[in-house]
Amino acid sequence: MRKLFLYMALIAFVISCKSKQPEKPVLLNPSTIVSVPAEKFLFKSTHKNWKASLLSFTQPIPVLLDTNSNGFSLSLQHSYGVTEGPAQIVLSYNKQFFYYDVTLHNNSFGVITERDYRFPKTVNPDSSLKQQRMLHRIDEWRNIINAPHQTKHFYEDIIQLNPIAGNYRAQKSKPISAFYIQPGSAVAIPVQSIYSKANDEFIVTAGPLKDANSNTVANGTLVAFLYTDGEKNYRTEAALLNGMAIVHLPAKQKSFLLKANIHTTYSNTIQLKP
Amino acid sequence: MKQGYQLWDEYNGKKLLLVALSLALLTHGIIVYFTVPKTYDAFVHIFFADHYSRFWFEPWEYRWYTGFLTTSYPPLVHQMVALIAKIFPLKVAFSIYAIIILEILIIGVYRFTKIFFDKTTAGVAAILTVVLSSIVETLHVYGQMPTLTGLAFLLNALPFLYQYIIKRKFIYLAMALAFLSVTVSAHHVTAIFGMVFFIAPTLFMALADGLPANEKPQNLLRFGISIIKAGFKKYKQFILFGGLMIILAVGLIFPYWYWSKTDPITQVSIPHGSRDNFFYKTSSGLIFFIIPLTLIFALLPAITYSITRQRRFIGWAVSFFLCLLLGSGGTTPLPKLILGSNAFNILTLDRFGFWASIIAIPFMAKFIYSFISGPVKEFWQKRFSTKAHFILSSVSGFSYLLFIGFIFHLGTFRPLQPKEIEIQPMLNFLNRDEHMRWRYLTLGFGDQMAWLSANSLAATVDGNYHSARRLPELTTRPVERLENAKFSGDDGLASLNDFLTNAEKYQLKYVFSNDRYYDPLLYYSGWNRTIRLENGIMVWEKGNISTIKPVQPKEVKPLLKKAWGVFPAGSLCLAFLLTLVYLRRFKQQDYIGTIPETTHFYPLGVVYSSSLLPVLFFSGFMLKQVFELLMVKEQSSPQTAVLNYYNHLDFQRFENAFHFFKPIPTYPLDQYLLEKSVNDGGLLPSYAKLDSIHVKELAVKKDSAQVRVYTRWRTALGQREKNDTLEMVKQNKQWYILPPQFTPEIPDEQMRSYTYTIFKKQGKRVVSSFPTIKDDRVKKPFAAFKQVNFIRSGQLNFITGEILNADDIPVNIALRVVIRFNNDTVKHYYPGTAFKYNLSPKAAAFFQIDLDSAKSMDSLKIKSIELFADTDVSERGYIHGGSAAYTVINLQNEKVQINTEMYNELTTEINIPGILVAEKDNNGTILQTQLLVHNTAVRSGLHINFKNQLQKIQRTSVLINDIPIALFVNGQPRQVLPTQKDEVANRNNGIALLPHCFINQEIYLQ
Repeated sequence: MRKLFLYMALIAFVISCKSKQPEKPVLLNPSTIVSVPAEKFLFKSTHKNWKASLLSFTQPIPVLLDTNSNGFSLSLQHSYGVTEGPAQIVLSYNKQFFYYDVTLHNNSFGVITERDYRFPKTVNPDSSLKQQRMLHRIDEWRNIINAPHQTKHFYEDIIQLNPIAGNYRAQKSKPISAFYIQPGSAVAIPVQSIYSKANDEFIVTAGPLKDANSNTVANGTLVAFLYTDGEKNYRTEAALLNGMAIVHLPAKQKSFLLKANIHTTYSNTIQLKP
Repeated sequence: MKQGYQLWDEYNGKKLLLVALSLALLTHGIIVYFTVPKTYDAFVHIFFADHYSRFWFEPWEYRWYTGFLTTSYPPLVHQMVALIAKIFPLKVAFSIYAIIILEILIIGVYRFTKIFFDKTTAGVAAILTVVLSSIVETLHVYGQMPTLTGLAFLLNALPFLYQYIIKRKFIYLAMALAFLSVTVSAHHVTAIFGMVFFIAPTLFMALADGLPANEKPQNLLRFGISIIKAGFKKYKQFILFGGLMIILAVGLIFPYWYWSKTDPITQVSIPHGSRDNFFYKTSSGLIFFIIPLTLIFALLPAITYSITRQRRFIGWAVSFFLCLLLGSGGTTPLPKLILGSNAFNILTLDRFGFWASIIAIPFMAKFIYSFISGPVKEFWQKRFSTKAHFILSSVSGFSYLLFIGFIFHLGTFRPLQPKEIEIQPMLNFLNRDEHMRWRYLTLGFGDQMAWLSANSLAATVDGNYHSARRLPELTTRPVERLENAKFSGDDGLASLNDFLTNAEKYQLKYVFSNDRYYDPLLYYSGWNRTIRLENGIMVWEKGNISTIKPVQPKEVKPLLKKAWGVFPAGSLCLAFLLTLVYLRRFKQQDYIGTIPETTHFYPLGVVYSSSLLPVLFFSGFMLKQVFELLMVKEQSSPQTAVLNYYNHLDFQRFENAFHFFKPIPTYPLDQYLLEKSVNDGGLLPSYAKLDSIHVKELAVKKDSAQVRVYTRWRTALGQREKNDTLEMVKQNKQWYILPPQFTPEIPDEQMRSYTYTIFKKQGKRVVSSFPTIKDDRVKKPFAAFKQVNFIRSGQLNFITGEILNADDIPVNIALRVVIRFNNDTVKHYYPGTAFKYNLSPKAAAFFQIDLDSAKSMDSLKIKSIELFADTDVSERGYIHGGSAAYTVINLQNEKVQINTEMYNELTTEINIPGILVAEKDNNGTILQTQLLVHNTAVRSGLHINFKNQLQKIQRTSVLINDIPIALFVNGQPRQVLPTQKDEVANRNNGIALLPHCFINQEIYLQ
């Protein structure tokens, strides 16, 4: 019996040692929309030794905690802006946690950056010169703000590009915004031939090759020279360079009929005579 | 002399054992690290060890065969190496483990021999083990650690089992079971066959020795009856041992049995040299029979005499001769009859020979002991002289040791593996640019592919453990590995071709090639050379391959995973602890008292034969090796000369080949090599292996001959045949070949120039290892289908057509046909070699994608056909070289002959002149496409003419229009362009062609 009392006393002692749970501190700010970094979060609480953190929907934001007679206040450790939007203040005391939903709003935009996205980045006049454009702006803290002269965040339209082949930039200062207008297919294949008596060979030139917009056809385009001596059918291929493709064909003292071909475009048939 | 100073009088057996252990440490211990990389199996076990060192409790190994379970092989050896590898590098860890096991094996042999004969004989047996050719071969040529581990513990278990049957003490049973548990955990095959070939004879011998002296009958029949009676008397012991053994065998490696039951091996048997007829295939006979068993055959008279002398050895005699017979492979039909064709085709029969050699050890040791210091020695000394005995024993011993030295270095004399490959450059390649997100394949690596795998987390479609293969492309053909496909004949290349063609199916993007033999197949299957690594390995890459899709691992219950990680290793710990307890508390000084004493006497016939045969065998063997190196008559007849000449050519030993030409002052080696360099090269000289050769003597006179040589060559693009006629002369009793007349085409110009355009893809514009959606994405180039047709010709079905690179940059195109059948099955088909995968801007190529047979497709009923083209920017592979001129001649039976004249306008050699041929109808519809290649190269500025025959199918084929083909380019639906007539094809019997050549010079960007 005596032991029982002893155990009961021990249990009572353990229970009495358990600390008292604090009450939830009261957020005193008039609105849950808080302008940062200037505005502070004010709390009323009878307890001290709180730990606090501010969690935005993307990242934790470091805060400073100042205790005063009525409670404590939280301010942002750094003086720059944040990614705006919903956030939570988390207060903890031992293993007790309290959460407060707030909305963060920056005091200023800081430096504003324009964004101009293009799709497709590569345009070929053989198919279409149309390009989708999307404009928007972001502030220094990576918050999207309205497009220039617009009420919406994003401005979107379809633009018709100038059919001059080249590399362009949607934003002049940004190489990353580059887009490309390719030359189209050749519309005609002019072919000339010279016979080199010294080497007994025909030097056949196809070009200059231009597309429908007078752009020089792309380097590397495969030009097939198809020719026949009436018996055999020959095929020699050459890659276009600066609009010209040149091949040296062994003449062997023979005559040939030749035409050049790229995909469905054929040149006139010319006769190669030594 | 005082007794205390005598070296060998006491503990003879143990002293000899210590000598054996020290010798093993000195010889094997030093060399094992250097022989390991040249063995067959070591790297496989190292790979498994690496698995356990990374994922001890996770049996799913994703790095080989798109994933397999390591529960398919008992884990103890791998786990122990993995543990040692926590401290040492993997190769060192494996070598340390090998040395430890060899020492345990020597102790095992010593203890095993003690149940046969006296301790000194056992000591001799221990020393014999150090130099026994079968053990040397198993360790240094095969690297089979599980076999050796299983055997080492099995041999240690047998004396305990013997004791248990005789003395009925529980400690012996516990010790026997503990050691047998380790055997089971290390190598299940040794455990299973050990029950038959080792445990059964041990039990028999124990029963025989256990018979009371007065009850040992003289009559064999009565002896048998007595044994049976004794067995029945001890039935409780047998049941206890048998029951516990079965529980341990099943329980310890239960996940293995579960795996073999739930995922049975259903694959075509892989040929193994140990199943050959050793008379026909002498190379197999040498490796699997002669080398491991020569000493056994040399001492066979003595072994046979001893093993049949006592009735207690009856079980061992049966085991020994049966193992020897089974080890002879396919030399006689008996092993197949005994094992049944299933088991015969699965097992590697050299293991039986190995076990025979182990059973023979005590009997060989007994004779050797007698020969060195017993009655046999006395006989030789009395009958002849001490000198004679000394010479005989020293010649026998030295010739045998030379023979063992030869086996140690067998991997060097007869290379079984490619030279050692430095793997670091490949590891760096796999680690950078997220290359690990795709699978890779190695070619020409030998077993070193497992070493690469062990050092990388990247996955390969191949593997080096064929029991775990489940991919149908591998299991339906007798092909061990893809990486050595050329050694598996047509089946090997067919398997490899499947993987290279269907690369997308397995997300196979990179090939590390150490053998240019495969270059033609890789190139014509749409692979491009990317980079040559610092170690000389060429990396090939295929475009448009998606990244590895997660494979659902085969489910293993968590409890089984834990059991797999704990039980086998636990069995070794338990055996170790029990051994300590046994040595401290139960070990007796002379614990085997029932072994009957045997004399060292041998009859005269046995003495002569077993004393002389080793000298004859080993001296003969070594002399034969020297003779082969020095004194082979390579030019004794026209036929021999031609065969040897081609052999040298095949192995690219050009200087040796040159010596077969008639010595002419104006034709020195320089001239030969010069002419060879301008006249040779191409598919047959550079990318082929001689498969068979037949020499026919057309006319043979006294001093001259004319021979026709028919050769068949294996190339990566299939078998090719060639006929040559050679003129020969005889000079100084040797036949020589007259150098062939050489009339080269001589180009007029002094220098050649050729203009082409090189492209460089700029890649990411943001330097970041993170993928972003905006700025990393390279645009998908445009492509367009010029025509697509579904053709049926007899039982053959294929999709043919032509595709255009509609873009301004070179592209790599991947084609894929997806057919959905009415029963909801979906099949994917890819083009093989009948396509140009890389196209210049605005270039087009014909293609043909083979489908299943008409019978198979009609039975399933096609619901829809979709043809997908995916494009990727390509920097390489778009120059296909050569100007082709052609005429077509009609032959009989709808065959045509295409005469092609290829002009090489490039500045480098075209190694394989080739043409992509399309047969078109009058409207330009492509009926079939084929790749045709020529055997020899064409040098820069020169011409080459070649002929190919093509079976036309216009009359036998049908264009199937009632099933529409949906077309997609980069995932977007597209329409086919209108088909255009081809005037050139119409003028040439419907044949159109495009040059499609392989150029080895990397500057031409293939």
